[in-house]
Amino acid sequence: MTPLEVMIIGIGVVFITLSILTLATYLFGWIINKFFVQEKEDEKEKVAAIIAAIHARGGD
Amino acid sequence: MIELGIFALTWQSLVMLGIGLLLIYLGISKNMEPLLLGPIGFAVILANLPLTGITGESGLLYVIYQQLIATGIVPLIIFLGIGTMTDFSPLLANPKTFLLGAAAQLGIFLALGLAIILGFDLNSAASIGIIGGADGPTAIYAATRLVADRPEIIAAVTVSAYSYMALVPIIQPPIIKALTTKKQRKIRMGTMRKVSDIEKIVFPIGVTIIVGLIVPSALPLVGMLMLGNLFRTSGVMDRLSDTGGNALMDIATIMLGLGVGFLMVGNTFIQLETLKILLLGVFAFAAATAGGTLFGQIYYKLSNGKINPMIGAAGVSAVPMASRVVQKMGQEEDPGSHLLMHAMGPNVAGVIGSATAAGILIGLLG
Repeated sequence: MTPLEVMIIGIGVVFITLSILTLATYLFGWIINKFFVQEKEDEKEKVAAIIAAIHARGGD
Repeated sequence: MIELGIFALTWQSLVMLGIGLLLIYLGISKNMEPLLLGPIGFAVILANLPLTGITGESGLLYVIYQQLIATGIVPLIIFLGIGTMTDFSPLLANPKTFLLGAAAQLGIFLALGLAIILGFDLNSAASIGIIGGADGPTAIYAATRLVADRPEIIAAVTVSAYSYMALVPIIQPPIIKALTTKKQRKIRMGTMRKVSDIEKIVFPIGVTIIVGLIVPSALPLVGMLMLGNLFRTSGVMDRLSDTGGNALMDIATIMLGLGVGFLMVGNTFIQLETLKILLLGVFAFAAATAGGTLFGQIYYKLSNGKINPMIGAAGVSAVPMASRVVQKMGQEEDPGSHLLMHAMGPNVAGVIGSATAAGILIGLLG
């Protein structure tokens, strides 16, 4: 293998690998935030609804 | 009859004693990577005092080098420790900065080319190029795999990698300034999104699997980095995270210092090649900085001027020094600018990038 081949293959594979990691990070980030972190927000909404209901009944 | 060491001193060993003292001075007095240059400097003195037997086949330094450094164990343990201390959140919040970490690896391959022009063989040139990854453990690991029979090159690469990491605040600013305009350096970047705990836990596992499948020879480095990071992010392995990032890493650092010092023996280290490697190291760092900054310019154009191109320079993996350089330069132009976290994205991507580049070179040439 010539030095030029090593240089081209080397930087090429670095870019390919990190491009795949970029896409995977976006994809998994989207999936996680869409289907898993959402639950926490739902829970927050539930807590807010309960607090609002307590206030509506005249409680503290 | 006892032989006196003083009569066995050669001019090479005297020069190396001076270099040992210089490294200790730089570490203690100038605060340049003191945790590493201190032990290395002391080990250089130990290795170059004559007739001690400490570098002989049953000597302490020889055993440490052969068992812990040449096998790659210590650099990998240090990588695990780095993983426990690395926060990948800025990268997870802005994954496109991964590519800035890739662009900065250009320095590795350009330095490889220049080393070939200067007369080094391909494996030595690849070891020297890795200095541009600005990552000490990666440089040592790659060198021990690529030029196991050339201890003087391993020693020069190690000293060069760690010394220049401490010089990042001096090497990078003139290059960044030359490749950006004042207006660009003033660009403020907005706040980053909050990253969930699940993302932080999934990330090290996902990176390990993906890199392992694409570049298997990079897996020891990336795998240990990510294992350390999983200790950190899991939230239930605090004891392991604490040990990996403190006690274990300190032990590994001491062993690394002693092992590298063993390689710095006068008659092999004092050569014209060593000087060439030190100069190529500066070139590798500079080219890496330029590669990252120029790729930052592409991001600047594509984002219609919303991304500060300086953050590309942080793609060299010297964490967090390179990010601090970007932050400081941004604040020099605009005191209200806060680029640190934005620069940390490419910075930690650079750690993965340099480990990947090292793995590729080991896979191709090892």
